[in-house]
Amino acid sequence: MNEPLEIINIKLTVNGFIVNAAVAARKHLVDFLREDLGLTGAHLGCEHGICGACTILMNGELVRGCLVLAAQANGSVIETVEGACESGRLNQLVDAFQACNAAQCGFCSPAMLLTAGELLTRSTKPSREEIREQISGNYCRCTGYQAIVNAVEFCFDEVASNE
Amino acid sequence: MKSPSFRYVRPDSIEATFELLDRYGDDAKILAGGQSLLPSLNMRLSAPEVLIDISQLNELKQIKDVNNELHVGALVRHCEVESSSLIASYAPLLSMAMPHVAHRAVRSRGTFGGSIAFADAASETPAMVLAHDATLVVRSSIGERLITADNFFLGLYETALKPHEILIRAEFKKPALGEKYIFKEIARRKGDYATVGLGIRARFKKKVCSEMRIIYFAIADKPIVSSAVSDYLLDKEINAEFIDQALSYIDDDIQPFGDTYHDELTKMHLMKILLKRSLIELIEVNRDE
Repeated sequence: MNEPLEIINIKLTVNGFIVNAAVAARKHLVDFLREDLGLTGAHLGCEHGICGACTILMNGELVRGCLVLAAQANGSVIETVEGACESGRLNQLVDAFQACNAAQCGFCSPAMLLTAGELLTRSTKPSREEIREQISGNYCRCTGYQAIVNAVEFCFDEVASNE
Repeated sequence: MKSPSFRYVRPDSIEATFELLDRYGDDAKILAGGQSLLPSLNMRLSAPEVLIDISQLNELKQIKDVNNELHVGALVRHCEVESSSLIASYAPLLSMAMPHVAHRAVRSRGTFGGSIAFADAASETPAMVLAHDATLVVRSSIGERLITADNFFLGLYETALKPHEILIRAEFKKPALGEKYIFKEIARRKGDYATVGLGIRARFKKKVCSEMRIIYFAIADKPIVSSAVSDYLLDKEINAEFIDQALSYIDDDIQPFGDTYHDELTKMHLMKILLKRSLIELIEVNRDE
């Protein structure tokens, strides 16, 4: 593939399904997920990498969906909040968000869940400082963050007490 | 906003990349991690005709120890720089700076070489590459050139790279035993661009300063190497009574630019605070030894 094109054929895995598509070169991954695949869990906020509302997982790592072209995602494995919730792996975190009133308008919540969920995969007892560091790239304009940090902390406590 | 239209290509080899660069020249832009380029496209600050995605060039992804020199490939990602033990031993200031680079979701895509080639005056990587006196290796279809970091950063978003060249790697020498490192930065919010920042690489022989390299960043069109303050501190046994005098020389080192949020006086004030804190730390480290 050594010829520049305006329409790019891509093949990638989204929430466990293999997807083949032809996309405009300029289309970023979140528009592709939302418009072409109907996965509206990743939200578009600032569209230049500041607000974090479009956060998704690419090959298991957190990325800004608005700062990845769909064409760049060719061959990758994508997980959105839909996939993460359907698999049940975020259940405890969702419950904790509910219990602690960590969602108000809900615009930031899908990205917050994925971002906090990533911390669950590599930490057992983070400090509040570490939780804040983890979600520092995700804006919430309602809660003041306190309730979100509470929810994540609560979730870690729940996970620990169940073990 | 959405990016303007462009054509996209993901060459499978470095030779194919150079062919594309030779064919499209200034109309093409190299896409590495895209964490600076894609925002600038989305904000329509830039409108290249062709994006050349170099993510398949695996030879640019390595961190290698070659005869006591560390080669860090241009496509090594910030998160890999952050966790690399080789970089922590060869270029500790880079490791220390990484937690300040945006956020996890950006560090997972953004690249070491992309940050250097983009040359944002407020970004940490170019400044710390300069602090460590790295050599930058650039290549085109004609061949390779080595450029010292001192000669690489020319101005705002401006480097010694020519349109047909790409940055291949940076090379770091093994640091001298007993070198001390300090990295400090002030930002309005965690992960934001630095308001002011500095990195120091210093060495002491029997507590007397034998090497002092101070790099200031986010205060001019490029990272600035101190001459006045560092010359003053050289050959001195640094103690508290020298601090005020050292700080007074900062006016000869930098004449800060203001930005949207801070004027030049605020920036100078903040930089003096960072420098003062750094010197106090160096004195304490020396005393404890």
